[in-house]
Amino acid sequence: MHAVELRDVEKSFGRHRVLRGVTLSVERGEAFVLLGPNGAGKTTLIRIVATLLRQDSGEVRVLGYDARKEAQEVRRRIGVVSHNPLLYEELTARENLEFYARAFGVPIRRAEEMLERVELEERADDQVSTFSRGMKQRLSIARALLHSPQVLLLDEPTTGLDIRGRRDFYALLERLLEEGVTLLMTTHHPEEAERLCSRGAVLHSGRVVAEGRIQELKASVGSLEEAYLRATGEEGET
Amino acid sequence: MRKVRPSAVVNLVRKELRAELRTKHTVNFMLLFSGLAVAFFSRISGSYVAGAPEIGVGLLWLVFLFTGMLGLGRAFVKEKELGTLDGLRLTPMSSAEILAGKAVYNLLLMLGVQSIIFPLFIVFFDFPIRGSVLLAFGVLTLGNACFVIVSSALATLVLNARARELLLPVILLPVLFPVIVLSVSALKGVLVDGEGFLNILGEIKIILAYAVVMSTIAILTFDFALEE
Repeated sequence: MHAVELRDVEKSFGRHRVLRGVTLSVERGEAFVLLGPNGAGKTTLIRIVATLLRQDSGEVRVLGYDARKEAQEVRRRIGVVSHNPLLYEELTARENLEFYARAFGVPIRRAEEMLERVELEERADDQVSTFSRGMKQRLSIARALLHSPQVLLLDEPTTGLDIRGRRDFYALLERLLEEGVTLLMTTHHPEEAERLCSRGAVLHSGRVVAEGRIQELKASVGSLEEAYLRATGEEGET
Repeated sequence: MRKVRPSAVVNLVRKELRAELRTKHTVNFMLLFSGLAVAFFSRISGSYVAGAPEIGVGLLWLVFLFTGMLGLGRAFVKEKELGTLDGLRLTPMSSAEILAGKAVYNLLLMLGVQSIIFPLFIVFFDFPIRGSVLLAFGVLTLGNACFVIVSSALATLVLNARARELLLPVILLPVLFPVIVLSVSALKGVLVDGEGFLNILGEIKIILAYAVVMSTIAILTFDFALEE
């Protein structure tokens, strides 16, 4: 069984077709990247897999569960980290995690464990509004991992992070991969994909225009960046 | 439809109260606005109300209506603006639990305002009370509860609209009209005519039925309303 499976997924907003027959699958325990320019449909696709949007047609399955009909089952098994940390700024780090722990029905001690894991235990009682972008993103990972999800969806998670913040973030994701968590992430940065992911796809205007192992995509044209530019028809534009 | 778990609702209400008590943004504005409105109304129309107390009951409801419009939509709009609504939807909480949590929090806000404004109103207007104050407070609470349910339901429906904070009052007023008319009638019956519970039972039943219908619509449309 695939961790994530999409078949002929279509999605439009009004007359604008955002996804056009997207078909792809992510194996359990692998890190899969969705590359593509702004407006390619990456975020829409992640939101559909996360059950936050419904596709117009096609099938989306997460760990065998239908994302449309069995959304609650899917939500229990996924974690989502996006550029928005989904945290309450007026609450402290601990209060945020305790709220989400109760919402997921997991023991409150998980909040403490996750604070230690993302090395925020010393700032646990500070309001999130006082945190740096990097700290918020670490706390966001803690929130997403509270209920031990098997699949982690990451939508441009390193947006706004400085070099140190990115490095810490990558290290955290690498540890999760070692633990067998499946990662499905979107990014604009080919170097991020090369470091973390084994397979990927390039989305352009709502279509998958290239898919395969990162090494294969690189080998065909020399670098992942070049493969990305060729697939999206952007080479020579810059 | 999944059942509503009280623990999930309590968790959401606790989070809302904790955040609000830390900033006091909404409650302060609601209290300030309603206090000022009562003071202005009493200064402008106090003498008329002494002669025709039913006008006072209508004015009191107007104060609650405008105060509620000021604060109640915020519970959802804030989550939408901060993006935390996605965080809520990603938990296994059902639509009914999220709506119930928000509605209970909004009701607590309105009860807080009501507890201060109702006595202020009686003092400022030197309002002649003929019936039970407790029953009047209960009628106000029921009306406000229905108000909160309707406004929470409609707040979700306009969440994706561009001018949502302007749109909400415009669609809220006509939908709330029956509740306001019935609440004013029941409150007038108790305060001005000295009627008892059984005399206003008809109004209470219709308000309750309206609340049930609106809650059901809100729960059924919640997921669709949040889709972009």
